[in-house]
Amino acid sequence: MEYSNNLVIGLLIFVVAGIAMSFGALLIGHLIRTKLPHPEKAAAYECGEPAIGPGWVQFDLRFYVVALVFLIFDIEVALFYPWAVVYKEAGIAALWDMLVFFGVIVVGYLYLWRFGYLDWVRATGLHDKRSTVRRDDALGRAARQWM
Amino acid sequence: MTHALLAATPLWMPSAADLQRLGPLWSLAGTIVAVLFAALLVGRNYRVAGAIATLGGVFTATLCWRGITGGAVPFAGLAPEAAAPMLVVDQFSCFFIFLISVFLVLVTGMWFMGLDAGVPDEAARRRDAVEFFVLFVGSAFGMALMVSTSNLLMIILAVESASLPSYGLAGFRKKHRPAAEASLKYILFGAVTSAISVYGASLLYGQFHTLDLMKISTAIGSQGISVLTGVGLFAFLIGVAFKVSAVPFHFWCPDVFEGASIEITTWLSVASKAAGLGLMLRIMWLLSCTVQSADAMRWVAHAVAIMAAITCTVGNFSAFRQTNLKRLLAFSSIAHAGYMLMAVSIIWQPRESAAGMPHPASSAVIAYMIVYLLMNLAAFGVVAMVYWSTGRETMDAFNGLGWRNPLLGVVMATCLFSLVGLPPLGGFITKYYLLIALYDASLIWLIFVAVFNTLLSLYYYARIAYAMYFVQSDEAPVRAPAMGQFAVLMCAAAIVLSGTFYAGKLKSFSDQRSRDMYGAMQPTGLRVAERPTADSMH
Repeated sequence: MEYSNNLVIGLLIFVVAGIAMSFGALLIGHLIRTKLPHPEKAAAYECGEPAIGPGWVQFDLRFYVVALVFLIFDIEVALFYPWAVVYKEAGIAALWDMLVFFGVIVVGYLYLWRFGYLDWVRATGLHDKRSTVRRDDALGRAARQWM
Repeated sequence: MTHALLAATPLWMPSAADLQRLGPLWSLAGTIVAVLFAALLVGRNYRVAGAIATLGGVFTATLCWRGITGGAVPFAGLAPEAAAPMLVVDQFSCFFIFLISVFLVLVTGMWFMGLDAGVPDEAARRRDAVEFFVLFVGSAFGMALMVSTSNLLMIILAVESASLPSYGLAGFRKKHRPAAEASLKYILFGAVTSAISVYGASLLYGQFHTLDLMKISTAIGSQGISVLTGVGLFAFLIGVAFKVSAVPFHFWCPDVFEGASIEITTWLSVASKAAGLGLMLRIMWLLSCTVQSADAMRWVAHAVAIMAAITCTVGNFSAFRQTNLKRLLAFSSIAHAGYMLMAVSIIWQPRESAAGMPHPASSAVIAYMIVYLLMNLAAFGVVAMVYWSTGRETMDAFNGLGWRNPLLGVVMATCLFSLVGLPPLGGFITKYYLLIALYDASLIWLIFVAVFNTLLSLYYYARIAYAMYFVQSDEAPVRAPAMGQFAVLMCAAAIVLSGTFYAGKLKSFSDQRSRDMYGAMQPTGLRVAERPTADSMH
């Protein structure tokens, strides 16, 4: 019981210290800093450049798509690494395991490619009335031929 | 150095037979990939995407059904150590995955019907069908994982992989403001609860040096529940309570149900809760699997009982003033989650006799879940058809429905009275089983809470029935797709049958599922026979 009491005290200290540190810093700053208001200071900081427009703009969704694609392949590489280290011992089963894993990601990647998510200048083909992509990318052509 | 370590421990690989046992999970995961792959070949074809999702659901359900009827070889595995399984396959998980995949197929059918109903975002629905079905089957996969694991880390992963696609689905109507709001609320709420849940898991791991629930349970049995264990357990269970939408983690539920399109509302109201309750049952059962740990878990179970009582009371009271049918049914589903949580709170109690007897609590939840699926599917189906016809989901759209479309009126009335729990409907008989289980567990106060809540709920369910039959309306008759009418009629028939002729069969089926529920314990350290009996407790 003593053990857990100590832990409860520890938890309390953790919580209180966490709150105190974040608010304390703000409070101390508020108390001791000199106050020289200037419109430049109130403006959004853009690396020293004069700010253009407000900070609350809608970011282009394409940034997120790129970030997501990067994240997936980053994680994939991270998972490939330990696999490569033990590959010799694990034998052929490990190869199949990894092929299944890799295959799933490749299907996702091909999907992005096929529907134009990798093109920076996005065609409006997604919004036509047949609701299929008309634009002929290499993959789409190949797929249609193959069908 | 690395090589020395590797040489010391032989590398573990799952065998082909082990992988084969996880068929239902493979099947769902394969369906997701197949939907994407088909899109590569044939383009954005909503029929193909929907057909693959349906096929995947049917195939998964078949595999699960074979597992259920074939007396699924209880199996715990996919881990180097047999005593600490990552994934569990047993009758219980097979049943829940069966339920989820059958529901997946039914909701897909509902989606198809909604296509021709002339809702405003029709073109977008067709266009984005591929993404829709990937997310849809993805959330089903996460829910299937939730009911087939007994490892803290896997539970967190499963809850996340069920939640993340659900966030997307809730906000799938991009141009629809309430949907975006619902999705944002859902994400924020889910993020906070899962953060707390991970924190709880880390506290448990720090204390017991294992992520396996069985091992944690034996450790609790020998050490007793310290304050830290209690904090860890509660924090961990918050993540699951969020999925079940137990009060006070229910705030996302009404907004999401109102904002999301009706198929998604239907899906979340049943599948998300089924998975959450299955997981909750498994956690509570595994944590109390020895005599000592069952004794220690008593306090956690009492806390769950209190949460269950609050959940259904708050759910029922909040439903009173709702005029949007989807929102009303959201609160109703919170209340029903409360009833089922009541059963979860008695699962720690020992069974009357040794192994082979089903636990009344899990049996009651399984029976309740089956009827709850039918009731919600039919009720939401009627709401959907009224919406397709009138463009409204509010109470006034239901005025005079009993005369504007007699079939839908009768079906809706059946569902409503079954949701209340009136005989001779399925809702009554399952609530009766639940109360009997509570009585056996001598939780008399909880029975009073349940009965009181049933009375409360009668008011707002009856209000809809009143509007359907006693409020005059000169609106046009409600025209609904024939397939949809047939489907909800079948549901209503099943509700009536399960309350009358098939009540015994429902009971024996759910007993059977919960009897072999934790057969998966056998390869682990503790045999089912070691489960404490009533005699050994006193």
